[in-house]
Amino acid sequence: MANGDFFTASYRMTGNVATTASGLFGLLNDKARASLNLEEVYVSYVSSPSAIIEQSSTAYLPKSAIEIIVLPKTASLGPEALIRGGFSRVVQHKVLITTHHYEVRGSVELPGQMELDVLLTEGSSNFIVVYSATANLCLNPKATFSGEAIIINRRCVDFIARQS
Amino acid sequence: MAALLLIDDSPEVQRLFQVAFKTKLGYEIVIAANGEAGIEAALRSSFDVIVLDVMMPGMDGYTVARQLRQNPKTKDVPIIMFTARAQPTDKTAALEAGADAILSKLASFDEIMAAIKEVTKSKSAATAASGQVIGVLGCRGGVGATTLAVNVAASYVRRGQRACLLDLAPLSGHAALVLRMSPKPSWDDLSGEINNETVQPLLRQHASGVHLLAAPPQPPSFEMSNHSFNRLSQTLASAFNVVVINCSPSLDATSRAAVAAASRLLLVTSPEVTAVQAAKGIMSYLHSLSLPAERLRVVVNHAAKDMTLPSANIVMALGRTIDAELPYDESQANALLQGMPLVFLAKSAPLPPYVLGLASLLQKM
Repeated sequence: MANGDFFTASYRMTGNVATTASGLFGLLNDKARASLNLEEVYVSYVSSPSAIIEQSSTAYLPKSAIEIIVLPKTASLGPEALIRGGFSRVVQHKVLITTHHYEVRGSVELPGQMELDVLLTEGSSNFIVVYSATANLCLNPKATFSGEAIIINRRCVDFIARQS
Repeated sequence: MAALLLIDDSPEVQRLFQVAFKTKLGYEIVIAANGEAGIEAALRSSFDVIVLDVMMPGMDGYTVARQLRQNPKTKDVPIIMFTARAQPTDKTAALEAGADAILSKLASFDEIMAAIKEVTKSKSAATAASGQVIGVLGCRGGVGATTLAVNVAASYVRRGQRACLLDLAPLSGHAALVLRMSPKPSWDDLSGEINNETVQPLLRQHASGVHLLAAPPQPPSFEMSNHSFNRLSQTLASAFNVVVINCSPSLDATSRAAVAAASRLLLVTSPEVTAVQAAKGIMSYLHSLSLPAERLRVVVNHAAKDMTLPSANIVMALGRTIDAELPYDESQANALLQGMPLVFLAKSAPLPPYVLGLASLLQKM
């Protein structure tokens, strides 16, 4: 079971997702499933992220609607080998990744000294993992969300910048 | 044996507390699976600490915390929010709702224990403080609430007690100006942890003996949360016999917290139609907050010479008796010029006996 905060353009959904051995990252990249089945979901507007406006025992969230997922623990992600695409030696790069509504700061892991654009162009995964990450809402930078990992929907990325 | 109320719908969490706290540590545990049942349980028995989930079916944890804080029976019971939503924004919301601490559901057992010990310890220290907290709330500007707050605080000093005046009315209050003191430092200089070490350097003692924690002369740089205010008032109450709080008539969040925390509240109006109407509006608002009637005292202050609305009309308009009517005292102008509370300056003037009597009445209530 993976617990986290799932952010779309307008909503924050806190809930659990039942996962298999491939973890949440495996589930997100499972091409046979277009949505996540969230359980025990509590919904807020991202503009007022702590006020609970709705709750439900089950909710279906299209993967395409997800912008970022904040995970308190990396254990929910799944096996490291799957996330690293099979590479065992990786280098950490500090990055700022912006999506349409969020700014995410943290570290990405890339094989060797590869350029950051591989995050957008290489591989078949639709999602990027940023470790020790913090996300800000662009329109309300005081609203911050942090976790051991933040997963970003690659299709929503506006730009990636290297941070020193 | 310590008594703990757990309000959480999760069977796993309920089991954890049963095993860890009841079986291993000997706590007396009462479990409620939703907010409504939790409030009922909290009102039925006394608890040393309440551990409260945020995400529950029906009433969420923030609403439960607010309701517990509004009830005199549960307003001082330490509350720990125990939640999967533990982002900084959630922490702020939890503290605003009245929680003393917030813990992530990923916290270890040791962290949970440490948090419970910490909040129960700080609440015990606050409860041990004997200081009485008195709120003074003007129904609007110009009714003399700040001057009255200064003189009430000075009355206690005259009686040999240690009194502190906390001015929460920036721009409209200026207790510092009434006492001819600098409004710096002020509570706006508070940052981080609020405790005796951080609050004491901000206090200034007036020649009368009254200690002042001034309001900032500019709009404050932050709005004090309920949690921060409660810490501040507890810190002051632990150091003084009496804390007099000059509340802002605009009833901003901090002043609302002060109204809730005060054991006695003086609502100050003056004998003219608009002030009485404003007082009536505030009384209605206080009623909506379920403020116990016995905590409220209504004072009619003749702040100017030509205020002539008869008391009977005020009583009829407010629908309650007036607890004190303070006469106009022209020596007040001289007191303001000298920056000295009138109760010290002109003991034979008309006003001081009334204020001293009012201060005495407040401690007997």
